[in-house]
Amino acid sequence: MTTLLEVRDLGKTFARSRRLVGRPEPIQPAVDGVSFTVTKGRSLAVVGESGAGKSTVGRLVLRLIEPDRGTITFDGIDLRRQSAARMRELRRRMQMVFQDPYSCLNPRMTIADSVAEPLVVHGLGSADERARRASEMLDRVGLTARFGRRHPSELSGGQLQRVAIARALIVEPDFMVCDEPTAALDVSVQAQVLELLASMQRELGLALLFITHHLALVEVIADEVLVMRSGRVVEQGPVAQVLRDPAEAYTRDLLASVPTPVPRALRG
Amino acid sequence: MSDATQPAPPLLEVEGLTVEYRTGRAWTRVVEDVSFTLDRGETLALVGESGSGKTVSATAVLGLVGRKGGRIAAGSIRFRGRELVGLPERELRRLRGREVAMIFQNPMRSLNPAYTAGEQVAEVARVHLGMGRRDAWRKAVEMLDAVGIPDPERRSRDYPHQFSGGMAQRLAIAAALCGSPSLLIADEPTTALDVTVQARVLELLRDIQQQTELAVLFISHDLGVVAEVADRVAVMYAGEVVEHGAIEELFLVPRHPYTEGLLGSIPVLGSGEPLRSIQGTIPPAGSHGAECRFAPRCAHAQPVACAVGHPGLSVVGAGRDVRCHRATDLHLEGIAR
Repeated sequence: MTTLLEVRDLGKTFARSRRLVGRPEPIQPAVDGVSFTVTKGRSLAVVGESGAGKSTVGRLVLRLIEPDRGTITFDGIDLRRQSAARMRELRRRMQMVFQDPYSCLNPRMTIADSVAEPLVVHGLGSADERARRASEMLDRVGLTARFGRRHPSELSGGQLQRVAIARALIVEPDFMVCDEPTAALDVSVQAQVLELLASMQRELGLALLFITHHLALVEVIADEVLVMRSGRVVEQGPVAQVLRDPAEAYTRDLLASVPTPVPRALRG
Repeated sequence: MSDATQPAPPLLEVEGLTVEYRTGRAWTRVVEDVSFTLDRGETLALVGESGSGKTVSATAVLGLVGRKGGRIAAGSIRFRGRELVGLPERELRRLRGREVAMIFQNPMRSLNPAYTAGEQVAEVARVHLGMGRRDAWRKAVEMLDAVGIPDPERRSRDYPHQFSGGMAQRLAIAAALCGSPSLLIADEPTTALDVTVQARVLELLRDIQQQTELAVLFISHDLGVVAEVADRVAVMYAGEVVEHGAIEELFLVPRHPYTEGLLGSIPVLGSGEPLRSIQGTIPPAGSHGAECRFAPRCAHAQPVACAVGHPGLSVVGAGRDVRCHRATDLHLEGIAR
């Protein structure tokens, strides 16, 4: 069990623009003293309600936004001390998948070109190799070769999320942040995408940081869970322990709000 | 005027509804032969994936398919026994808001950003209840209070953008219900909300229903959410109803493989089981052959038994219909009790 990512005392406060009238709003940190580790090939879920700071944590870890304080150590490398150029290189190993797959795809590019693009960015392989890798990758995420010639607007939400996953995985990362990757999908499609992520994780030995507001997904995808509220960590630990025997009242409230797919008349 | 021996017609009766949309020169059928009824105080859920025709079926009830290049090609929609198909726009407009109201996944769709919360709701009271300015405002504050918006007096002067997602949906519900409609069409009303907020909004809908005998046509892709609110469920696939029944029966003993797949896709806390997802995707409208539309994705499809034409909707019990060639010999997995 080797630690891949170690985050210590992460903090970020966003500057608020001054209001035109009235008193300025009090500034509350978006992320305040968050620490956790992600083991190689394992999956950590970050859960909480909207505004808890979970998406900010995901972006801070990849330095897509700059932390105010704290340390982020990725495979022994202190990320906050790396230059912008070095960070770009490192990001090959650290990928991200967003809630809206459309946001990471160029509407004018074919699906195959979009999937191959990260290889171009990182200068990997010849044009032929890139095309071959892209079609292999599409196949692995369950899309046939004919999808490669299409454009994003011709695909459904679930298919686009598969493309986004293929695009993230083509550079063979060690670590991937998934920010609510299934929140905009139908439940049936969500199940397909979660299955895909879980199988990819197993096959590639990928470590995941899975951000979600839906606690029932945690059991499906994660080994460890971290519960956040108002920028702070409420509770963290192995999934089985936190979900079955939560130590904090807030975690119990979150658990109680998860809908049970049992009709009300059949509940005891 | 109903005579003592004749029972009153159901509040809403949809029969053989077929809706088509123009695609280039041709008309594409997106909803085909859909029938359902809804009574006072009852909740019927229309369930299916994106593209199954559930939203189109519901907008047809409001007489809105013509607005987006669609037409009702066949069928009948009766509200309190009165035929709505072919009714002039002027009459339909009187019905909308007053008798039938609708809320959407994005509450901002039914709210005007330039008006305060109080003004939005008061407008409904003025237009549909014929109230004066002052009474309408009082009614609006009452409605905000009734849907659980804290400090309604002060919040009535706030604009929609100042409300959180859950509070904005409450506001949309207040505006929808201000005219005391007897039917509410709720199109994925909690899909964009956090689970905690979703639970509270669903509870609000149930409370309102208990107090007012409101009938709700609830549209969702998520049977987990439907379990919280519905009495009956109509599962739709590729424009057709494939299974219909009382919610308890449908969840415990699904009769259509698609229903089984939808149930298996719901992540259940503490189940410790992997999800049983449905493979493949819903076919585009108008691309169906003469066979069962679900067969290409069906885990139980058989080359011979399922290649005998398009299955009809057959009655398999009281209020229980299934569209499947193998309806009588399949034993499908429902939820664990």
